[in-house]
Parts: sequence; structure tokens; C-alpha cells
Amino acid sequence: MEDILAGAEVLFQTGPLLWLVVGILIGFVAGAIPGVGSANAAALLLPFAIGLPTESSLILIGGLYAGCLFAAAIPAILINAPGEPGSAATALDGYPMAQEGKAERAIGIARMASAAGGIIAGTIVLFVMGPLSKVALQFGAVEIFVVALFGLMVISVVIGDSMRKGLIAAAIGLLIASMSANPLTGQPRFTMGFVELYGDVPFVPAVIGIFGVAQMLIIATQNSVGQQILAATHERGRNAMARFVGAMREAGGGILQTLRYPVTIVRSAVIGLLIGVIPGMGTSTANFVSYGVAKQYSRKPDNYGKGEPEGIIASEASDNAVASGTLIPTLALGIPGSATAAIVLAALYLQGIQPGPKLMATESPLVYALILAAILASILIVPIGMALAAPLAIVTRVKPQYLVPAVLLCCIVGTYSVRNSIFDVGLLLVFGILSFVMQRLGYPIVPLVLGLVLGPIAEENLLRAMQLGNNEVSYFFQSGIAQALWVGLVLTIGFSVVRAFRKSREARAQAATAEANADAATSQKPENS
Amino acid sequence: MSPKNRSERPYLARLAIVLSLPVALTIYAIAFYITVDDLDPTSRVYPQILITVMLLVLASLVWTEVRDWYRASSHATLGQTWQRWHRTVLTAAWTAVFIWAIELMGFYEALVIYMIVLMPMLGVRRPWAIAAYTAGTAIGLYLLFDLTLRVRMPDGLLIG
Repeated sequence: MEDILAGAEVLFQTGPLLWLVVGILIGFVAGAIPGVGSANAAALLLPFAIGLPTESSLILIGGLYAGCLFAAAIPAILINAPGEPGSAATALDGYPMAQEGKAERAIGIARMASAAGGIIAGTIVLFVMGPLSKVALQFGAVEIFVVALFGLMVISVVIGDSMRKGLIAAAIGLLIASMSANPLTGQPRFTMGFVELYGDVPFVPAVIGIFGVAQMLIIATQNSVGQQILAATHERGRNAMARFVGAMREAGGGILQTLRYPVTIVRSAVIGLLIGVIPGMGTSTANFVSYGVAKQYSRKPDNYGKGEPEGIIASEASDNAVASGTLIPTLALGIPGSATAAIVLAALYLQGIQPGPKLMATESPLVYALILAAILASILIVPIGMALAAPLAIVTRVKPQYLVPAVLLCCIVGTYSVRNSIFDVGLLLVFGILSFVMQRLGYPIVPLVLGLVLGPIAEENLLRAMQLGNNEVSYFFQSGIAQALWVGLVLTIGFSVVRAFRKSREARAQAATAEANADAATSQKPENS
Repeated sequence: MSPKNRSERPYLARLAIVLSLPVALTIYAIAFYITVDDLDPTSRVYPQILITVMLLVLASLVWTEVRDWYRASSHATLGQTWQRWHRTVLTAAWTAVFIWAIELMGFYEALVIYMIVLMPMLGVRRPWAIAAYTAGTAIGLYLLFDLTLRVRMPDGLLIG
């Protein structure tokens, strides 16, 4: 309890509170533009955030994350183009509602569900973080290495459609991270004569390039960022004020309607929290799982997909809850639970703070300030969202011709500002092109980022463990925690391999059925003509 | 449609695209492996193990990709692919030129030329829109970075 109060003392000051609100506002804008998303926005903000005091920079990114997660529902509802993968399930019922002229109500439902999910999950994390981090203090070099490996493997095999592509993406990240001086011997490896690579590969250009630049290269081919906005909202009243008041009234109705589904809210929040704790599962998994469970337990399952409010509630409550869940592996274990959490991790490193088992002991007020900020951000979403949701919808109309140059320039300037280095800017473009090519060919990019972030941790702890154990392999299996982690790693990979085989077999069976149907249709044609 | 009935060019173009990344990764990995081979074992073991595992997984993936390519029923031509992605390629290439030009000319000078060329490439046709957006961007960046955040953008070798 004292730690929580210390965290509250850190958070409830003018500076951190101001940056929280600024982060939410920036997140609203970024989340409302399909394709930009919280990871890209956080990556763009990172160079500026690290110039702030530590607590303000982390709270800024946390506020941005919360704002993005909610605002991503707006394009999902209005134009069926989710701003983030975590709002994909929201579009299933949000868009049909908007087509019926109830867009503001759908946005109001999404807002309240998002807030409720975040508050519930954040409160749970507040009380679970301490006990969990005490366990984490028992982690030594071996355990940290295995956790890093576990995190990388889980993300590589879970994210994306192909396990092998996920593993290759992670390997690329690990290899690029090792293009630096060895942590023990100091010998440079494959640095190609660039002195700038003697230290670790710089995070900021890598992260901004992988997310921001790559997204802009993808958007450059499009004629609009999302579909053209339909006149989904009714024109209530002739003047702008009357329309605005009407929209607010509808949104308020949506908020009240959400409170009629307390069981769905709590269940979805818990699902989101549990999925968020597992590195790599992320919001895109949580919102569909929660949606599916809600449909299963619903009294009106046939209404799902046709504008059922409960569908929006299930998706949005779990979506925001994931953000709190990802704080546990990110802060307590040093393993980012999502792409945005990877940027939080990068921000911690750049501030000179080592996340991981010892963080709770050394920076406990900061950790609790971050969790409280997540809860406060969820509360602030309601009034801020009420005021901004309608005008923000205009952002979805920004054409790529104007969006792409502006964002690319921000990426370049932001990257340059970190070390005043043109080399970093060049690296930014290289990572952007690499990420673009990988995405177009179906390789997931989150394992790439995690490989870059976790690579140095994994190598350093591996080498340290080998030294401590006199190069004996058995040293890696001595402690109970290490054994449990190895078993977890093997089981996770085993389940993923089985699931991949099953998926591949189902796909082959479906393809065979489709071919058989096509052949049957073709052979019937001469009889009918 | 069997492979024999297809035109060869889109068929092979698709294979080249699919294998581009694995081939590039293989070259990179082998170059890395050879470069670190004469270092201390503590320095080279970790990347060499990674490279070995990656090449094995890559080989398995290439086999699957080639098999799927062979069974696929239709392929876009290179022309169709270029039509779809030419803006991306040109944007990336022009941005690389811009980054090179920053040190040569200075950031703001290079920015003006960058925007004047990039925006028509992305589809903006009206000269006044290009001029206004370029000017607004340059002024906005100067106010935000140089004046407010005190981030001095580089002056060039030729200008500034």
C-alpha cells in the first residue's frame, strides 16, 4: 500500500498529469488514423519523450497508448477500418450500428467499455504486480536468458500466420542486435567499419523505421487512408452546435447502455488482462477471444455481427485491459507484452533504467505511477472522448498525399534529434524498407522488434551464465524456476507446432472441398444449358 | 490451371519476389558468419549459432514457398506489381536521396526540393497546394524543432 501511495505521489503532480492528458490527446489523433496506431505514434514520440523527466516520459507514452486503443474504435465504427488490430472485432458490430445511423451511440458504447475494461484491469494489476515482482527477484542470469528466449519464441510462433516466418523475423532481430561489440570481449562484429554500431544498435531509428516509415511506405500506395467516409451520422439540426449537442446526447446514451452489461465488461476485462500478460498475444488476439466468448454466453448470439452493443463492449473492454496486462511482463520481467510495450521498454533503457526483476525494488514508485496512470487514463477517456470523438472523425479523411510526407519528415527529424546523427537517419530508412518488405511478404515485424530489444539481454545473460556455470550445460537446468521455464517453453512450442499442423490440415481439407465443389459445378453445366 | 498453360513471365516474377528476402537473408547471414569466424569464441559463438538455426529454418521455408508458388493458380505480372507499388519504391528512393542531400545542402533547403518532388509523385497536382504545404511544413518544423525544442537541424556543406 505504501508503494501505491508513493506511486500516486509521483503521478499526481502538475507535470506528469499534464503529459498524461497530452499523451491521451496525441493517442486519440494517432489511433483515429488507420494504419498509424499506438506503436507507430509511440515510436515517433520516443525521441521527444526521453528528453522529459523519467516519470513524465513513461506516463506520456502510457497516455498515448490508452488514447490510441480507444480512438482506434472510431474508424472501425465509422468506416470499417480499425485504427489498431485490437479494434478489429469492434468493427463487426460497430460498423453495422453506424450504417443504421447510430454511430455516436456506438462510439459512446466503445468509450465506456474501453474505460471500464482499463479501470478493472489496472486495479487488478495494482495489487498483483508487487507479489509477482518478488518472485521475479529470484531470477538470475540463467532465468533471465530463458525468459528472454521464452518471450521471443512465444511471440515468434503465436504472431502472424507462419511460425517459421515468425522465427526468422526474430532471428533477424537478434542478428542485427549482435552487429555490435561483444558485451564481454568488446570485439566488434560485422560493423562494416561504422563506428556508430560499436555500441548497441540504436533503438530509436530501428523502432521508428520498422513501424512509422514502413507504414507510410504502405500508405503511399493508397488513394485514401480508409474508405471514403459514408454519411454515417445523421445530421441533427441545421447548425453545428445543434449537431454537436445531438451527437453528445447519443454518445451519452451509449455510455449508459454499456452499464447494462456488467458481466460482459468484467469477463472481457479479465480475458484481456490474462492475454496481455502473455508476451506477444496482444490486443488483436484479446478482442476476438473476448468477442467469441461473449457471443457464446449471449442470450442473443444471432444478433452478433448486425449491430449488437454487447459485441462492441466485449471487444473494447478486453482491448484496453490488455494494455494493463502487458505492463506485468514488461516491467516485472523486462519482456515487452506488445509492440507499444516494446517502446516503453526502449524508453526505460534510454532513461538509464533496467526493467526486469529488480525494477520493483529500485523504482517501485515509478512502476505504480505508471499503473495508476493507466487507470486514470481510462477514466479520462470518457470526458475527453465525448468532446473529441466527433471532430476526430475528420482525421480519417486525411489523404495519404499529405499524411505521408508529414509523418516521414517527423520520423527523420525525431530520429536525428536523438544523437544528432545522419547515420541514424540512414538506419531509419533501412529499417523502414526492411520492415515494409517483410510485411508485404508475410513476415511479422513484432518478433523483429523484440529480437532487437531482447537480443542484447539474451546474449549478455547467456554469456554470464556460461561463465558462472563453467560452460556446463547442466547449469542451465539447475534452479526450479529455470526448469519450469524450460518446460513452459517446450510446451508452448509443442502446442504451437500442433496447432500449426492442424491449421494446415484444415486449410488443405477446405481447399480440397472447394475444388470438389467447383468440379461438380462444372460437370453439371452441360446438363443445364 | 496447370503450370504448363501459364505465361512464364508472371510465374517467374512472383517466384523472384517471394524468394527475394530469403536470398538476401542468406547472403547476409553467410557474410556475417565468415566475418566473425576469426574472432574469439566468446564473440562468435552466439551469432554463429543464430545464423545456423536461421539458415535451417530458412531452407525449410523456401521449400514451402516454392511449393506454394508452383501450385498457385494465378500470378500478377511485374508490370501489375510495379503499378501497385511504384509510389512506394519511388518514395523510398527519393527519401534516401533526401537524407544524402541533408548533409550536402542543409536540412531546410533539401526539404523544399524533397517536398516539391515527392508530393506530385504521391498524386498532388495543384502547384499552389504543393507550395503551401511545403512552406507550411518547413515553417512548422522550424518553429517546433529549432525554436521550441532547440533541435538544430544540420546546415549543409554547400549551403548554410
